[in-house]
Amino acid sequence: MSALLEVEKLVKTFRVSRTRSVPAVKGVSFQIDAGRTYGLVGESGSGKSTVARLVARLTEPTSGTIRFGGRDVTRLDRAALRQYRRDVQIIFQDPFGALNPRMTVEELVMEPLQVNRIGAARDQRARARQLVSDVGLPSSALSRKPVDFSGGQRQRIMIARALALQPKLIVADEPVSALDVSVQAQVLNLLKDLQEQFDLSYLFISHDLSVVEFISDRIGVMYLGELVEEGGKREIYRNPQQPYTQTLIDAIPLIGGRA
Amino acid sequence: MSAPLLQVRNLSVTAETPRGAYDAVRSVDLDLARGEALAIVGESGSGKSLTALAIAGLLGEKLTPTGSVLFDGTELLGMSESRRRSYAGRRIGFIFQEPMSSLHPILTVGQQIEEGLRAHFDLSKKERADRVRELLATVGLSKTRDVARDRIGQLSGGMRQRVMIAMAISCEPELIIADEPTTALDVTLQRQVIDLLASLRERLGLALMLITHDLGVVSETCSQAVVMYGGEIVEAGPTDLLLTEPEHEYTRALLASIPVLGDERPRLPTVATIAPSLRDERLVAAASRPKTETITLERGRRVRRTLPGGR
Repeated sequence: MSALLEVEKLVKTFRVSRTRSVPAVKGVSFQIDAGRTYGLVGESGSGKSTVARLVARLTEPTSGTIRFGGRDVTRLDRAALRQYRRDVQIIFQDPFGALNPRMTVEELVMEPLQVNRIGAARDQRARARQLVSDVGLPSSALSRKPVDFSGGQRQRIMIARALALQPKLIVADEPVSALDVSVQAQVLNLLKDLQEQFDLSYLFISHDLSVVEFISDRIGVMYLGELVEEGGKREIYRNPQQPYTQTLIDAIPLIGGRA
Repeated sequence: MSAPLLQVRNLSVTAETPRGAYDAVRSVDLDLARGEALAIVGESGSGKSLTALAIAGLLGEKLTPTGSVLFDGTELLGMSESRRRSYAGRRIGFIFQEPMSSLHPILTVGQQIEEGLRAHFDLSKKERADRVRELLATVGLSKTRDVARDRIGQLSGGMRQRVMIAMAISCEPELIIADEPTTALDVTLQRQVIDLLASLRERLGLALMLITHDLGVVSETCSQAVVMYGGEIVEAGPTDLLLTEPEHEYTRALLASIPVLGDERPRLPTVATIAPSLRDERLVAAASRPKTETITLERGRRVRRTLPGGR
């Protein structure tokens, strides 16, 4: 299987003053295959969200390459970058802050189509209706505003928006962290179903190892800007090579107590 | 058995909404002995936070509690604000979920911790400063620098939560109510805060009421737990039994919906949540709810059952 996304020696350094800079990502490399999920775990400050933003091209890397379908996306002209931004979508943790409260769900889901001038207004409306149903919301949701929805439902609206442009890769940065456990289960199932239905790849970022293990095929563990361990999900958890990975696993509170 | 430190009977909370009164918490019974830890588990809208706020006397204007909250044998409900403050203000500490929005952005950490000390003790300036230093050491904040002079914005999420805990224990309370104290934290920080709460409970002999939706945290911290759903306690009992042999259908469903390490399930079973928000138009009218009864099982377990045909 060929890799959809290849990240190589990615570095991001933030300058905080004229003399001081903070390395947030220090030479991270990994690959995501088409139709697969790559999970990135780590604590806050580990650099995982910076990796997400770099992959989504929301911020410029200091050095390193990001290849998408074999093409280096750190050096794209405007038109090619536009296409990349359709192919790669991002979902954020906070569905409360990321949706315009004055827009209806229909407007919110149509917006990416309008911005990219895809289809006539009538087609856009039909597509929005389809997307809303794809993410498991009733069509009555179309005319309502974000305030009428719970956290899980808002995250579904975010996912519908992300799907509007038929992306190949979705970068999901802590998409279920703000949700209750039962709602979390619904959203995780939805992401899995959509992956199958649309052959999507995910870069799934979370601090919750159980959640990452559930959804991912491969997992990378980040610590202080570095990818300290990487592998298939079974290997990582059954036989962690790095003490830090073991620390993360030990920190998970277990239901029913630790054996 | 001696009388419990906290005894809650038939506690209900009624919310005034634009569509009329809604009983968001119904007939909650709780017992918490000195030095024990009790978890209130539930999802958003289950009524767990309202229950905690009602016990702490922190309900907002449009929320009215009824029933009985006995703290060390004295009824707290209906007590005047000032009486309550002098009787229970020092003895019950509260930890909120969001340290950022419940701490003052401009006052220093030291000034904020001192506030409770000023209100409840007659201490000199020097004594107060010593006590602040001691409290910061207790919550593990003294190692690197003098945090007392810092402002909240200079601290990380985990450090802020430690400051909240220092404030909550500053007046040597007998009961600490912690509302989702670890939800906003990473796993490793979460672990540190849980361990800190557990060790404080042991060292200071505190009773702990932990409000959370994280069953893993409950399992490791609390010997007793109640599960709330739709404003009611659906199941209560020793944590080990509750989590390993749940009696109520909702508890079972909730447990099944959580991914665990080594999970081979392709999909997670989901729970039908009712969780009405107070602005929801589908607010369940009391009359249309199924009739329920609470049955008591071995080891003090309680389970709420729907009565057959009782609608």
